[in-house]
Amino acid sequence: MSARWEGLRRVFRLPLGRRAVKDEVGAELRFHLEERIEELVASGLPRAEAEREARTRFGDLPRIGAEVERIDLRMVRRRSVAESFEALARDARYALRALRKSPGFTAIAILTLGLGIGANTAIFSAVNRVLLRPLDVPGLDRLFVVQQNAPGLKLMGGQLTPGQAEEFAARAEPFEVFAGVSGTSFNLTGAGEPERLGAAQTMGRFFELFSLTPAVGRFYHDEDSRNGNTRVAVLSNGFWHSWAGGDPAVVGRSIELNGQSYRVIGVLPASFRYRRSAQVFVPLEITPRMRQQGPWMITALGRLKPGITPEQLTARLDRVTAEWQADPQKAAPPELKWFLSGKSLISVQAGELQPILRVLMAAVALVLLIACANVANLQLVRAASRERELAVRAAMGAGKWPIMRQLIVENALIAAAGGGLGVGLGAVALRALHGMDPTQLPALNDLRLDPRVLAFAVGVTLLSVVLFGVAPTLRVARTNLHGVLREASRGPSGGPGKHRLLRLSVMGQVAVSLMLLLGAGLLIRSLARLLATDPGFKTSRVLTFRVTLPAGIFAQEAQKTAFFEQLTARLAAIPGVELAGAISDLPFGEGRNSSPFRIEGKPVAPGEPERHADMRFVQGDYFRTMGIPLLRGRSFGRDDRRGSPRVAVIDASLARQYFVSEDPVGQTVNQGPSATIVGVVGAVKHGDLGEPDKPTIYYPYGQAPWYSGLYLTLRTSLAPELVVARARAAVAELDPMLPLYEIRSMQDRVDQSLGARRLAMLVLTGFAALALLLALLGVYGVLSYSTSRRTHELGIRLALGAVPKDMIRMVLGNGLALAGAGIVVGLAGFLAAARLLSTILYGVTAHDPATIAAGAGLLAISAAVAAYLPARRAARVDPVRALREE
Amino acid sequence: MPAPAPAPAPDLDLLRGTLDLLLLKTLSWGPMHGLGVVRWIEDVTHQRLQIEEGALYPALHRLEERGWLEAEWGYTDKGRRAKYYQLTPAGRRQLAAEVTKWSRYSEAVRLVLTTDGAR
Repeated sequence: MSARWEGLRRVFRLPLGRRAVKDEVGAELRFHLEERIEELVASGLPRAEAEREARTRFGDLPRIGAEVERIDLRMVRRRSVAESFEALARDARYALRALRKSPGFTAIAILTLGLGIGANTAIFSAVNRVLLRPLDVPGLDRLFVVQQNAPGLKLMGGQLTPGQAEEFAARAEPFEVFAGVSGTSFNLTGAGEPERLGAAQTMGRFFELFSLTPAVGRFYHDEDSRNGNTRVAVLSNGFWHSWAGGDPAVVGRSIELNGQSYRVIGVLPASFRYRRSAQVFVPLEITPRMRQQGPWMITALGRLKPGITPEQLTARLDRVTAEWQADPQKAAPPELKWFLSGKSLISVQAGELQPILRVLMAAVALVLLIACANVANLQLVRAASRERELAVRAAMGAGKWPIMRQLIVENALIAAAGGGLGVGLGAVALRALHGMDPTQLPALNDLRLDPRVLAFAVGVTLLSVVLFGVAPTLRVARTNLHGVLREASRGPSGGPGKHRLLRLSVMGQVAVSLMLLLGAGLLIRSLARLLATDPGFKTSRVLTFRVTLPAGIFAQEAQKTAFFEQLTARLAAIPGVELAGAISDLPFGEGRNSSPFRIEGKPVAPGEPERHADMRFVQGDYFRTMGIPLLRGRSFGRDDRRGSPRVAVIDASLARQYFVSEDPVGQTVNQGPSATIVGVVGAVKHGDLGEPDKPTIYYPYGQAPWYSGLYLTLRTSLAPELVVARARAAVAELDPMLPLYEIRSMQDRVDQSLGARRLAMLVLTGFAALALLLALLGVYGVLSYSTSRRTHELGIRLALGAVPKDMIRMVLGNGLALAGAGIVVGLAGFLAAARLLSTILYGVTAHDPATIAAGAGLLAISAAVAAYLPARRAARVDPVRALREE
Repeated sequence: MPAPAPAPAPDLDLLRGTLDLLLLKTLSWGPMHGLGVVRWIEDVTHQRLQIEEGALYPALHRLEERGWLEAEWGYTDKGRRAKYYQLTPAGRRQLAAEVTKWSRYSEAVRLVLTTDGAR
């Protein structure tokens, strides 16, 4: 019997294919029939009858055959699945054992990946939130903002006036829904302390734009306004909870805003994130005066009709620009080069963080690249030192595929662990990022690891497996196993070309580290330059806050003047307050007001750009409070009041620009009513330490009390926070219904303007340090590996008379050559990518030679240090032992 | 029940269960191909029990699928290629269990059939 079993296949080695199964079943049944027929023929039946008889006995052959095939196919499938699971489990067990045997390697690989993936997850979460999906709105990418621009005034991306928005609404064919919104704030009075509420006034179909469903009640529509129903309010979800405790019965309640009563008709859903600072939404009442000379206050936005492209929108806006320019009533002076443009809401929202996040994205990708390369290196080194083990396994009959699969499973385990660690680290990093919240950008407030980001992390992890798992595996698969065995038995010395991949990868790491180092270096220098920039005022010990008088109660200009005069006097009298003043638009505050002006007797020369200056109204001891120096003439005094001759103080920047050789004091400027210049003060930065000085004209508030809200500024002898309570009391003494808001120290305001840059610098510096560390680990690892592989060769050299110094020089030279090549490549890469950085740099160019020299130098020195350790080991090789080790 | 070929098909579950038992028992004597199993049963029962050949192969393959049989290609005495079935250890355990079950069943049936109605 045993002869029959020779060369038989085990059952689970059944061929897998459907056809093979069919063939086997066919052969089995055919054998049965033929054998039966022969048997019947042997018993005396004629052949034809025997065939018939056999078939009859068998029954429905095709049906039975098909049934058997079905059973077999099912079996084959199940067994192959079970088998691959078993194989996988076996591989995993083996891999775990192998990884446990080299805990150092395993820990470094997992940590490296974890750091790379963690940084990636965190930054990508931020980018996803800010750049890709700032608001949870269906079809967000179809929302576009219409902006007006006047390059002649250096004003780009401006809002529309109420009149323009109304007029454009009638021509907004590219949009299916069009609306306008304007940020404002109200004094909330009624129960409890008066409060300043962020608010939004809307026009058009604002709520429809975002496809919103009210959490409670309803939203207001155009009809409400037409029916004179303008005193209605929709609450934000957060405010609903803080003000009304989330009570649905809030609908129908009334709310006192600026002394006016509004009826609450609905609440926004919690998911609504546009205009986060707005707690209440009310319809905008456009008065004829606003329509005529309204400020640029309306953010006009719409949802593009299906099929309309952004280009078509631009074309439409160009036509409207041309139409409006042709209208003599509306035409802007040609030198303003005024025009309308459209911009996607996503990029408007991302704002100034956009270029910074792009840089961070690039940085994070580089870090991940380094991490993967580093793990690949570790793997290469390890694979090389395991060549012998693998060769033995191959010699014992393991095929190339099982060995490769084994290595892939090992990598997958490392990747899984690294990925898990990365997600954890990413969550921690996000929390840190959240805590920094540099610019109070709405989108950064509710950062979280979302499922998409997690999917991204998983993708990155898988990619890493492919990147660093397959490369070393391929090498092993290519290796001539017999050669390895022979070589291994002799004591190896890796050939020079053998570790090209390894050296290439280390070079790449050095290159990428250099790019990150240079980026971080440039950002650090930018920030240092910015911090060293004199804003033109003293930032320390200045407390600022805002008070706004509701229009209904302080209608008279005299009332406003009197109020702020009294207030500054009372504030100045607070113990711990040295000086007090007030201004309409505070530097590093929220708004600014800029308008054209004339100088009497100095007509604009042909070709000269329009004269434009920031316009500020000050009250009390503003200049001295802020530490803005008086350069010429005098400051404002008590006599510069209503009815006395109008005066102005200009800043040094305006004086430099328009009064080169003459004394500006005594000249007359006209920016509305004309005023005589009585003094010159130092120029200040208005909103960004990096901006050029902007000509500014100051007027006494008493002569032009147009603003109903002012920023109060107090110079304190104590820490600014300590006088807040007394300042609050001083305001309450004058009017208990008035809230103080935007209470911040001047230092805080300036710091905040640097927040985004500081964040970028911190993150990039962290990345650069991480990258440097990883690259040095790479250099160290490769050199120590190649040194240990060359012990034999080194022994021979020493035996032939080389001295240890030669050994050190050789290994060190090797390391520096690697680093040098990396530095050259990195420099080239950096110069190519520098454009990305240049938008967020200040005071240095992306090609700053000092930074580049410092970065390259640091890297070279670090590489030398990393190379020195293996070099010293090489020098200490004992030739006798090295040769005997054979 | 296995019956002479022309008889109407009896209860299929019973048939299959019984057929499985017969196949396992037959193969406990050693590896055989499908026709060998049929012949062996027919010989042992003196042709009294004729296996329905159509049901034989699905049954064999199902037993193989459940891991009670192992199949391998081999050669007959005449040198023809045939698929041989062999009991696995699991199949041997299953056979023991089935035999116990069957004995209890047939004993119960015998009791019913042989007890007179007087009780």
